[in-house]
Parts: sequence; structure tokens; C-alpha cells
Amino acid sequence: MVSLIAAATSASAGDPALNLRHGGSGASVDYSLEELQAMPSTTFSTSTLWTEGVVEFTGVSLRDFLEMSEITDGSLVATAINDYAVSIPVSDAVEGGPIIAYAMNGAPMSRRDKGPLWIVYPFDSRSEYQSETIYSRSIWQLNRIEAIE
Amino acid sequence: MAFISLGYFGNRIYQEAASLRVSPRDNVQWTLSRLEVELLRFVVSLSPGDDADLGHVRKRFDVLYSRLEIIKAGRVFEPLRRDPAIRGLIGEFDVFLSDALPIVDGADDELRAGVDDLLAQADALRPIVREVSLNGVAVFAAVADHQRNSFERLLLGTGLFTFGLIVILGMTLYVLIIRNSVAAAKEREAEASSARLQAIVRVALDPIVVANAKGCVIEYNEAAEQVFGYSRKEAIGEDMANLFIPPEMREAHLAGMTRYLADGAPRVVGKGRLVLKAIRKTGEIFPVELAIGEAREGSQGAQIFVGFMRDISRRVAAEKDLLVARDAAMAADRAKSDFVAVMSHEMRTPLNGVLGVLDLLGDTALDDRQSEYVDVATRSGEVLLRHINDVLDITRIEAGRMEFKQEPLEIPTILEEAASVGRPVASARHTRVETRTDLAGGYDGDANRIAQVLLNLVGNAVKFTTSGEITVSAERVGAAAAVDLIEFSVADTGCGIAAEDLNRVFDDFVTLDVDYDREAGGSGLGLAICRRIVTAMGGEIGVESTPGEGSRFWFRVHLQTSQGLRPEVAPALDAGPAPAAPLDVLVVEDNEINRMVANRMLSAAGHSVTEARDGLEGVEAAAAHRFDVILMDISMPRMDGLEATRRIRAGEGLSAATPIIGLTAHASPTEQATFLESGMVKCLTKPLRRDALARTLSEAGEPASRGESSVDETDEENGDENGGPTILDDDVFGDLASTLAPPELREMILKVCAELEAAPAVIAAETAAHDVAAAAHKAAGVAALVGASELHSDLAALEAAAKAG
Repeated sequence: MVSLIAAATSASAGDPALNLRHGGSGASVDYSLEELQAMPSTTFSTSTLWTEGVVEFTGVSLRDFLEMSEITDGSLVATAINDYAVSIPVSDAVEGGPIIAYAMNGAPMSRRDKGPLWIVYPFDSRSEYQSETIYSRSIWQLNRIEAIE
Repeated sequence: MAFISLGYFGNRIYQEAASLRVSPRDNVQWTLSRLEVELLRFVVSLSPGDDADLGHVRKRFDVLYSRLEIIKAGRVFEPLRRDPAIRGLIGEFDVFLSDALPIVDGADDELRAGVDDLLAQADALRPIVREVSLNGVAVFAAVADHQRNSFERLLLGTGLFTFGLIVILGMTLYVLIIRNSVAAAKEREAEASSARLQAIVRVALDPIVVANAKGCVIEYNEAAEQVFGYSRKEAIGEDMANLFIPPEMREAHLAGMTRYLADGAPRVVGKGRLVLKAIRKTGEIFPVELAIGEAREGSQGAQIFVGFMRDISRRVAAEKDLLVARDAAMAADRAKSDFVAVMSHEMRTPLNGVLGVLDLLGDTALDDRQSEYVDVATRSGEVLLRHINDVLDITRIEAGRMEFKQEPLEIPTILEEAASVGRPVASARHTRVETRTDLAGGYDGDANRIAQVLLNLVGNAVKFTTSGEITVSAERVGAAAAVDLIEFSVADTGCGIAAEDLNRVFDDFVTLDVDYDREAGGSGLGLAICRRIVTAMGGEIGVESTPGEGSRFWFRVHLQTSQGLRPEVAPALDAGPAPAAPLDVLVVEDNEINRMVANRMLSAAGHSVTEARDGLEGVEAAAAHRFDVILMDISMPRMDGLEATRRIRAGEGLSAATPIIGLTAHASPTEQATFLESGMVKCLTKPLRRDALARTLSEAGEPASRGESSVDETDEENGDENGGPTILDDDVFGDLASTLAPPELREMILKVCAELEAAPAVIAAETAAHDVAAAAHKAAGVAALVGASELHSDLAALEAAAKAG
């Protein structure tokens, strides 16, 4: 745990936590962790394939995030630190839907533990969220989002 | 149970589907290969050595680290972690990472210094990671296959189960369909049967009524509507007693029904057809023929009574008419025979008076003219008598009342009789009358009737022949068992009969003697009667003729060969009245004229006569005095002849044993048999003729000797009446003596002695019993003739013994 926290702090210095780029216009916005944490937060508990038991996730709801950025349709290409990328349709961003999680069980997530940002769906809440497609969209170590029309 | 199984399967499928849907299988292969990639990137980040971008290194390390964490902790990798080999590999990896952790988390220069080391270690990990990855592939592939297989099996199981269920359902459906069609067929059949029965009941011409146990009408057909008058609507549901049974019989009916329902013993039900009375709606009571059967509606159904009825009013009326007609016919028949009887009596009686008186008159002193008158009158009377007899004969034959006697015949005698009657007239016409036959006796038949026919034929022959020859003959033309066919014929050399008349001659009222005066009386019935008589005897009659040459009338009859052999020597016939000894005669006769006639006749013959006016007087007279002979008229008032005879015989009067001769107008053999039964010895038919009377008296006159019953001349036993046979019966011999002239008598005695002397030898000479009996019989007859009674009875015994074998 100590190492994780240490890792978390080293990461925050320098690179922005999340970069959002508008595919059409080419505009890009950087967000820091604090900025994300300042956004209206959503918390839910769910079990996942990659964790043990039920975990509480806290983050900004993807819907809130996109609303703020005025992205209403199209799709998002979410890329992780390890260059894993997945396309998420904007329609997935619904109330009670996925969040860009920055805290797991109340504690920030280190890079060594799928952090700092992880798009987590409330898998347990709906059986539709328990499909391969959704699992593939649950991208961790998220650092870039490109909005495509 | 099918439902439970289905539920089980359904649940399992659901669970499997759910588990598939849930698919807690993140792309395991991706993750494992990712591990390798991230290790490689870490290695790559370390490769520049001193020029390595430390931020990059740290980032890559974190990524690698998090990846391993997922493998170590992720739920989905549980199967992987179970594998001990993989657990070992993960452990090694883990060691590396935890060793590298302080260096990576340390200061930059620390990290820089350790890069080469890390690089070497990381490089060394590459094969391990490869192995984990590959093993994982295999493990998860197996898992996936297993899951697929089990799901496949589940689906298959479900499928089979469902299929089986469908098959069962199909079979059930099939069975149901079959049952349904069978049921439908049965229903159709029942419908058809019901419709058929309905039609039968409806169409039946006779009323059919069905009632239940309570007596209510439940079925009622059209015929019933017509017969009883109630419409179907009116009848159904009503109590049948009120509808069809006359009021006075209802109580009995009710009692009967109650009793039957209680004890089940049928008196009317199922007992066939009964004739009862029924009542129509109009109130008319009529006879009905009824048959009631009991049934049940179905195997458990109600008890019903089915009644089949027929209105037999017409039949009953027809039966009554028939009875009436039959009675009328019988009455008519009776009237006819009464007529015959009455006419027979009524016509003969006065005729008796006429002829009798004429006879008497003829005996008195008459001059020639008076004699002639008497002759004429007598002849006319005789003609009249003949006519009456003819008519009565015809009536009798037509009424089927002619009876024929079966008594021994002497054919030569009969022929001779007929011939002799015709001879007087024939002689006057210069015609000869001959007889010819080689038959003798040995037949039974009715001699009188045969003689009657012959007489008729002879009479005709004489009428139509002048200066000619008439032959009366008889010959046997056929033989069979116990019966011979005898043909009698009368042939003449007269004028013959024209061919066209040959068929007519036997018809009623046909006469051909146009050219000759009808002196013999030609009512035209003579041949007609002959034909009737012959036909009634079962014979045939016919004629052959050649005009100008003559005619031959013939008739054939079957005569039975006589059971008893007859003596070939016939006793003398028509030998004229033998002078009889004076007898004490009682005449019992109600008719005054007849009485007078009889009296005169008897007196003229020398007998003393006592008269009685009816049966009662007769009995009294007979009781008071012993008479030699009693002449008893049959039909008398107060007491008739039969009763009187019986009384005399049964009584203790002096004349109890006296022979009684009946006088009757009736002549049928049955009647005569009755007379004889009552005790008479003989019968004479009226009108009473002197000759017949004299003959009869001479035969019956000796009360002590012959006293047996017979109408004809032949006689059998004698002597037994008065204590045993004597060697020589004086009376018999005496009679013979008085009958024959002395020379004849002597000749006869000699002949007889000769025969009797030869008899034993003759008899002994025969060997066959049959022939012995015949010889004995012959000798017995001869003995009887002369009155050798003892000899006669001995010979008779011998005959009987021989006959018996």
C-alpha cells in the first residue's frame, strides 16, 4: 500500500491525468486528477472480473464528464498508458452507467493497481454490463480520450 | 412428472444460458498475451541502459505490475491459479516484481544504477511468461470445451426429452383421435339404429305402445293414433290404463301390474298373444290382440313394457260370420238328410199301402178285367217305387250317404238273379237271356248294388232288343293283392246306340227310347244311377255299341277276395217262398194301413196275427204271450222299434227269445247294423212284399234253430243256441225236406252222403294248411246243409285249427 501511494504521487507530477481531444476540431483539453475530483462524483459498488469481491468505486460519471465537454453523440476512443485502446459509444454514457473512477474503496488507485483512472461500469447492476464488449470497454490506466463524431 | 422434468431442464438451461450471458470470461488469452507484451515493453524501456527514460521505465513497470495483480487476484483467473505449474510461475514473477519494487520506487540515480540488473532479470522472465501464457491457453481452452460440451449435452438432453414428450403427446393425440372416431362411429351407429327402430315403430301397421313401470305411455306410434284415436301428444305421458283399457277392467289391470312388479311372475307379459277388449277415444270397446314384452332401456335402464296390438274387430266379425255360415251349411246338410229320411219314409209308407193292398187284391177272386187292372196298378206302383228309389238313391249318393256292404258275394247267383228278372219280358220279345261266368264265389262286395246295376242294364237290354240274345257275364280282368278287378257286362243284339249318343246315355234324364213305348218306365235316371253307383264303388262303367248290331254295357269294380272261403255250392236262391209252418206272429206297426197289409199277408200265408199299435203295446204283448216271430216296425211314436226290441230282449217276458224282424223304410247298412245290435235278427225293407215276407218268415220261422243275424241269405253257424250240436238236426233237415220235392231230396241226400264219406280222405290228402282248411270248410258247409250239426261243428273246428297253422 505504501508503494502504491508512492507511485500514485509520482505519477501525478508532470503528466495530466486525462487528455480529452475532440477528433473533429482537433481541440484538446487536459485534466488533472484534482480537476476530475472536483467534478460531480458518483460512487457505486460492484464486483469486477479483475478484482476480488465487491469494491466501491468513486469517480466522475462519464455522462457528467461528456456533458461538461458538450459531447453528445458519436463515439470515444479511450486509450490507456499501455496504448490499449477501445471505442466507447457516447450512448453508453448514461445515468447509472460507467464512471471514470479515480478512487477504489475510497483510496486513489495507483498506476500499479489499474489507476489512476479506470472506466468502470456498474457490472453488477445490469446483466447487459456483463458482456465481453462492455468488459473490453472497461479500460484501466486510462489517460487519453478522443471524441469522434 | 413431465412438468417437473421440464422445469428441471428449463432451469438448467436458464442457468447455463445465464452463465454464458454473464460470461465471466474476459478475454483470458488477451490478458495473458498482454502480460508478455508488457514485460517486453518494460524490457525495451530498460534497454537504452544509461539513456533509459526513467519515467518511461516506471510507467512500464507499473503497467506490468498491475497486469500481474489482475492475474493474481482476478476472479476470472481462478482456474489458472489452480494449476500448480502456473502458480509456481506466477510466484516467480511475483518475486521479481517485489524485488524490483524498491529500486523502481527509489531515487532516480538508484534506479539508473539498477537498470542493467533489472534488464537482465526481466529478460530472464520472458520464457516464464511465455509458458504461463501458453499453459493458460490450454487450460482455458479445456475449460471452454468442457463448458461447451456440457451445454451441448444439456441441449441434447433437453431436445431428446422434448422430442420424447412430443412423441408421447403425439401418441396420446393419436389414441384420442382413434377413440374419438370410434366414439363417433358408435354414435353414428347408435343414431342409425335408433332412427331405424324409430322408423320401424312409426311405419308399423299395428299399434305399438311402450309404457314404463308406472304405466305411463312413453312411446306411441302412428298406427296407435289411428286405432285408438288419441293423438301422440294426448297419449304420451298419460296412464295407459286410462287410455286403452275399458273402465270395468282397469282395476284388474292395476292389480295385475302391481302383482307382476312385485313378484316378477308373468301372466300376461311375454306370454304370447292374448285377445282382450280395449277402448278407443270414442268410447267404443273393441276386441284387440295383444302381446306384451318386457325390456330394459340399456343395461341399467328403466324397466319398460312394449305392447304390440292388433285391432281384430274385423277378424272377430269374420270369424262370427264364418261360424254362422258353417252352421247354416251344416243345418242345410242336416236338412237335406232329414229330407231324404223323411221322403224315404213318407213316400214309401203310402206306397207300401198301395202295393200291399194290390197284392192282397190280387189274391182275391178276380175276373180277368179286374186282374188286368190289378196288374196294371201293381206295375205302376212298382214303377213309382222304382222312381222313388232311384231318386232317393241319387240323393243319397250325392249326399255321400250311400254305403256299400262288404259281404260275401256269389257272382253266378247275382247274374242269374238279374237274368231271371229280365227273362219274362225278354221272352215276350222273343229274346233269350243267358248268363256266363267262370267265377264263383270268394269275393266280398255289395251284392244288392251290383245286382241293382245289372238289373238296370238287363232291363235296358231287354227294352232295346227284339228277337235277340242278351248275355249277362262276369269275368276277372285284373288281380292284385287281396283285390281283383271284375268286369260285369250285359251284351245284347239289339238296335245299338248311335255313336253320338254313346256319351250321353249315362247322363241324367237321357232316354233314347223314342220309338218304344215307355212301358218299363224311362225316367232317364237308370243309367245315371248305375254310373253313380259304380263310381261310388270306385269302379268304371262304359258302353260299346254298333248301331244295328247291338250294345255291350260293362262296368268294372274292385272286389275284395273273400277272407273266408265260401262254400261253392250256394244255397238255393229264389226258390220261391217255402211253405212255412203256421206261426204265431206279433205285428208291431203304428201305421194302420201297413198293419192291415201285414196282417192280411200273414193271414193269407196261414199265420195267426196279433197286432200292436206301437212299441209300448208291442212290449206288453210280447211279455204276455210267447210269439214265434215278431215283426217290429222301426219308427213308431211313444216307443220306437229299437227300444221295444231292446226291452223285449232284456225283459222277462214270454217272447224274450222270440226272433224279431225289423221293418224299416231305411236301408243303409249302418242302420241295419244298429237294428241287429238291438236284438233283431233280420230287417225287411218297406214296402213289405209278400214274397220277401214269406221268405223271411220261412228262414226265421224256426226260433229254436237258426237265430243268427244276417240280412242276406248266407248263414254260418247253427245249432249252438239250443244246447250243443246234434248229429242230425231235425229242423234243418225238415226244412230241407219241406223245401225240396222228394226225388230232389233223395238225390241231394245221396250226393251229400257221398261227399261226406269222401271228405276225410280229401282232407287228409291236402298237405298245405290252407288247403286243409278249404276242404274242411267245404265239407262243413255240406254238413250244415243237411243239418248234420255235430259233423258240421267238428269240421268247423278242424277248419279253424288248420287256419291257425
